[in-house]
Amino acid sequence: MGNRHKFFQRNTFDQAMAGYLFLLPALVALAVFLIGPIFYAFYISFFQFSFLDPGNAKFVGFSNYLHLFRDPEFLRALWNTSLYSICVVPIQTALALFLALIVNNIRGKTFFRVAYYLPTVTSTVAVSVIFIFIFEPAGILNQLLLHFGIHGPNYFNSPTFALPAIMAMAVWSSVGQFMIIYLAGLQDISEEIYEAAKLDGAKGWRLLWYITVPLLRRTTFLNIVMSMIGTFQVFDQVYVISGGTGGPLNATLSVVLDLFNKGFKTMQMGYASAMAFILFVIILLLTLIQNYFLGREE
Amino acid sequence: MKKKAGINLIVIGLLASTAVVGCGSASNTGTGSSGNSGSGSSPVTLKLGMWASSPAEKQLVDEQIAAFEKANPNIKVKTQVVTGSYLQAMQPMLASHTAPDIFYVDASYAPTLESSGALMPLDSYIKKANIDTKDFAPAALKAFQWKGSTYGLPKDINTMALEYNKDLFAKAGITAPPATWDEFQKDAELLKAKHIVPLSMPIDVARYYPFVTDFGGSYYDVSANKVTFTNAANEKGLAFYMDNMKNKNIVAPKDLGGDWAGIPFSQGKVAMVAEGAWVIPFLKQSAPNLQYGIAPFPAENGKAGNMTYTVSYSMAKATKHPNAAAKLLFFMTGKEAQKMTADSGLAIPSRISQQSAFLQKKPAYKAFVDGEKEAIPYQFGTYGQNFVDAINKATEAGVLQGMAPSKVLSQAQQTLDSQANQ
Repeated sequence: MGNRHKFFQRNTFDQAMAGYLFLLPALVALAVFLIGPIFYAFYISFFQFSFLDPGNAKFVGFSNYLHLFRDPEFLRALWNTSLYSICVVPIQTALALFLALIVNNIRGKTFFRVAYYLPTVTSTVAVSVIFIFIFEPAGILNQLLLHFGIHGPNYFNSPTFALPAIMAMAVWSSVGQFMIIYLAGLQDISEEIYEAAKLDGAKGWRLLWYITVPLLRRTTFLNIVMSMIGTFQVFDQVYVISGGTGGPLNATLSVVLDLFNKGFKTMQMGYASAMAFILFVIILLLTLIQNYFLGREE
Repeated sequence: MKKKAGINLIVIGLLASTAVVGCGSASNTGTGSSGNSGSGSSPVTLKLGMWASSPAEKQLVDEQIAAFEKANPNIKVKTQVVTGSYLQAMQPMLASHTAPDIFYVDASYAPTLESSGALMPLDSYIKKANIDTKDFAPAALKAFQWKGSTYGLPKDINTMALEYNKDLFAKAGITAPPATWDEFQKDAELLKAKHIVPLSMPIDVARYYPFVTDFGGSYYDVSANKVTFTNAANEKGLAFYMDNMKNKNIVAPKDLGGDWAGIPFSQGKVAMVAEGAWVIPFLKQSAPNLQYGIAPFPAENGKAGNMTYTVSYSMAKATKHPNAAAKLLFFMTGKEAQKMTADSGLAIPSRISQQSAFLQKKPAYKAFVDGEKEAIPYQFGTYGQNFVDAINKATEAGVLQGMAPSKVLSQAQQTLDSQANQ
């Protein structure tokens, strides 16, 4: 009996070891290529650091972090990114729920799922290039507006329209991803609850409002957090559309684009690292706030 | 049971593949066996870093290298073509000492690289090899000198000229291209009367800076490495340029649906552009039937200011074979290689001795070569990208919001001060 117990013990230990052995390559890769660089970036965010000349790095304490809040470019980037997030996240989430509800009980379900999900797996760079064609001064959208006698603006070169045009693009290209998550959430709601509600005389909209939406709360939380993180890290679209400048007049400068330019164009890697950690703290705080309101179990 | 075994195999396979990826070796080729570093005893492999604006450029460099290898059988040269952002790809390589032995450096960011200590000073090698640096166009050579040392030799040159669409000129009844910007303004009225866009030029200091210098202004004091945006002498030239933008004599290419001015020009949407010689191969390819002429970049206020864009071959300080690399560098910027450049017509040779032969072969390029005389290198010290971003954004705001030139300049100075030195 005891013997067998011992054998069993060693067996679990061996099994665990075997498991970790299999995980080892991935863990090593993560440590070397992800966790290590994160710590190093934190370290250099306290230096005036150009990585062409690492020998001459100058320790500046918190000066990089303090300077950020006096830097008009960064503040503008933060404002643009917040605005982008505030507009994109609610529209995207509502639209994803709407699409999921429709696709959930429709003929040709599979086709629509694929159709809505396709933009998500398309390269954002490719999507941006396509949208440049749509939003060109003489592009598809303005040709369409001409039929109604409206002379459309030059979207991506107008400080007013550039960011909204990118927002529209972001909603279109990632709504499918959140729709899929909502679909999974809808599958989780058991039929019995709907049956019970119907027995009590609930119909149509009220079913949606009092049963579906509250029961999808966890899914909604996940979607909003994911969407928010995604929008705060917006980069490829603005990079392609503004040609890396964040123009016109900084209207499309996002935090990550500003960070990228500071790190790789003007070689201020320490400053860029400080920016990255400020962005991390902002996303963390927003996630915690949302968790407080949405993520708790009843 | 069987199925499970299959899954296990798949998992193991996946893990094994990540293991292979995780341990990808970063072996360095070209280190060779150390020990006998005697010259010429063992073959040396060098890497040459470049970008390729077109297949023709890659072909030209390959031919130059073939000629070099023929003359130096114990040195092998491999090219490394960077696609995408060149500076961005170069920086990590320079930082980790894995950069090519010699590579292209654009004048606009040369000082940044020179001051960082990533490039090899060439003076002692130039002396040893008896290179005649006087043969290089002075402005182009100066672009790669920093604090009294030379960090690169210019491989070729480009300047701006005025390319004009002959058909559109005929339509507006203009017989000759404008020689001054005052004449340009008169021609622009004629063109606008026929609803033709006169000139396309981006809101970019790399193009409009001659306006500022023609009126005696300067954004940058070379000797003190100091930015002088707020110098009052700058306002006149900037005002002249902004007025022309305001009354639509000059229209930015992106308002005509192009990334750069060559695109609307090739589509016949604009009568004139001010671009470098790179526009010629582009037009040959995209608009072979376009009837256009090339005139000198217009003068103003009695001065014919222009910009020089030049690229050098420079050596990485971390190179393991400095002597062989110097040999290659001097060959690639030497007379034989420059003659090949001249024959290709991609750019103007940077050696004065090669320019007359070049002009005989390519008379159309005369305006670009003449533009060299009063040209200023497109280079603003170590401020590089911060400088360009600050002034371009301020100018753009000025044009779009109708700000006064003095306000544009002070805003540029403020932006630069808030961005630099972090």
